[in-house]
Amino acid sequence: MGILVANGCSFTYGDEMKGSRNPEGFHCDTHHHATYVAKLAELMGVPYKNLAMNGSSNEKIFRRTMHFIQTTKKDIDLLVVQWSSLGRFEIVEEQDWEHDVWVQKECNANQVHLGIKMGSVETGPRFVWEIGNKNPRNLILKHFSEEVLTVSTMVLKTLSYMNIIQHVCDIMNIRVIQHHANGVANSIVLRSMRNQHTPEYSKQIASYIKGLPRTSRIGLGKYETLWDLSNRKYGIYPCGHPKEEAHEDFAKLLYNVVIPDIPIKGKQGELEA
Amino acid sequence: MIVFNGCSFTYGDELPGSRHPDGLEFDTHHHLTYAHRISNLLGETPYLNLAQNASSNDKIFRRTMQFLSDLRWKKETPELLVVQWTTLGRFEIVDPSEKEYELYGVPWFVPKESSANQLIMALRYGKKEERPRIAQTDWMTKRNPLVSDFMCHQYSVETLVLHTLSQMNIIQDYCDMAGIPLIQHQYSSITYEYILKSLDDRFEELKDYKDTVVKYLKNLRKTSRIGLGNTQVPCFHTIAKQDKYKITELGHFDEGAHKEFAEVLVRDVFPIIVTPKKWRTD
Repeated sequence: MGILVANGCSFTYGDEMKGSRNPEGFHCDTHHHATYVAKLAELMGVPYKNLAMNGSSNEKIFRRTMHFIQTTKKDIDLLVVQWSSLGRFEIVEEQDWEHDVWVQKECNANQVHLGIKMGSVETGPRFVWEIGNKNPRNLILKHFSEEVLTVSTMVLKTLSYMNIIQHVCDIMNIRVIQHHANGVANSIVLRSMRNQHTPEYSKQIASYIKGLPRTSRIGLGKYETLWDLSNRKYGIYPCGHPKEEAHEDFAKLLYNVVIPDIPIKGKQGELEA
Repeated sequence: MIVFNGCSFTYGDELPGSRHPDGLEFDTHHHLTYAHRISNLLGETPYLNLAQNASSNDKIFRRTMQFLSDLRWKKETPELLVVQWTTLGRFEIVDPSEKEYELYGVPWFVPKESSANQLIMALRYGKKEERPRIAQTDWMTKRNPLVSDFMCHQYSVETLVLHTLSQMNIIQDYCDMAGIPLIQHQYSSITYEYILKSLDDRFEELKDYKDTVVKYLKNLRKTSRIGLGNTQVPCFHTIAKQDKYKITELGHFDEGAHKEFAEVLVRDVFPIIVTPKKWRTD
């Protein structure tokens, strides 16, 4: 029997659900059975492995997902990758800047979190630094992210990662679902493509999107995301995470609607069909 | 078909016939590159050289994987993939500006693929007790002091090491699955020196990072570690710095070094390349 493997950020880890954020540490969390990953595994009747960690950037999600699927000896029946906010990247640092914010540390890498302002059609989306503490590190990060780093850079990276995962899963004959944390990702990607001064970027992004079957485009114009579903039906937890009931609904959506839609071999399967 | 990717060292920048004033598409140096020589040594096997000047490792990885993916939809598989990894000190930003052109004041000879600029940084080895760092350079400060602040004071060599080794592992594992023989090499062994320094026992605070990096290094075969601790095969730079060859002011290698490096790869590396079995679904 194959297993279900999932990765993502706090949305997939199940942060803020009842039983999470145990003061003794993550290893004492007891909410796991209520996540959409556990619910989906239950519907499928398979064991699962949830690799998700709070605060993960897409760089970290990609790196850890690829490492797991390429090295595990277990058969993977389904891989579910949830992509995080486009405003995150990782830096290996001596100091742990995340010790008090419920983020699991891995490889000594801190996950930098940036807000995204949609901006006008002319300017396109931009990063904004939302953390009040103005220590020297944060000031450097604020200036770099707001004035040098572009949202398009992170869109290019993320869509490239999505295509690589799709392609590798096709070769390994692993069914894959990819979804974004919320539907805002789609607006950000589309807005970034309207910059007339970066035509090659827009062409590349269009090609990446075309390379993904709809089952890997949840939140990129297809289906409803976990956050949007929660926001519409049940509301959102204080720190912005989807509610437990939404996890249950989302698992059902994946099981009843998305999984039957998965092409046999990604794009190739669709073309052959 | 043999597929090559890398930066200017694989593209063959500064070889006679490169840097054509009318554009890179008019360059006529290609027959002098080690890529072309390998193709010749292997009986005129067709080859494709994807390398572009100034490519960062992120760009090399992204374009290599994209090419392999596109090729697979056409139901083709390369007979061999050769990936040359560049200096760790590069970073790409999608940016409409032409700052690199403006700063250098000369044609920059870097294709702006996906509208991304390639930021080039120098690394600083530092004293024995210091971790390696990204160095402050005039160029970086002129481009934008904020880039300089971020790279020199906030970003870390360890981040670049972690990402590059992860990418090398992904490519090796991918090739194993897809049945593609693979060579991976660093243009210079300096990258390995930086990696080893970042693993120094004195820097106890980076234990998790070090465990992962050691795991990544151990997983790479000898044929993926040329210039990265493989002592049996000289890296490109080791060959090029011999007295009989010339290194240009910008640091590129001459046609003699390209020729010898091709011969070394064919003679010493090809016999030990593991031809991976294709993945079960093939």
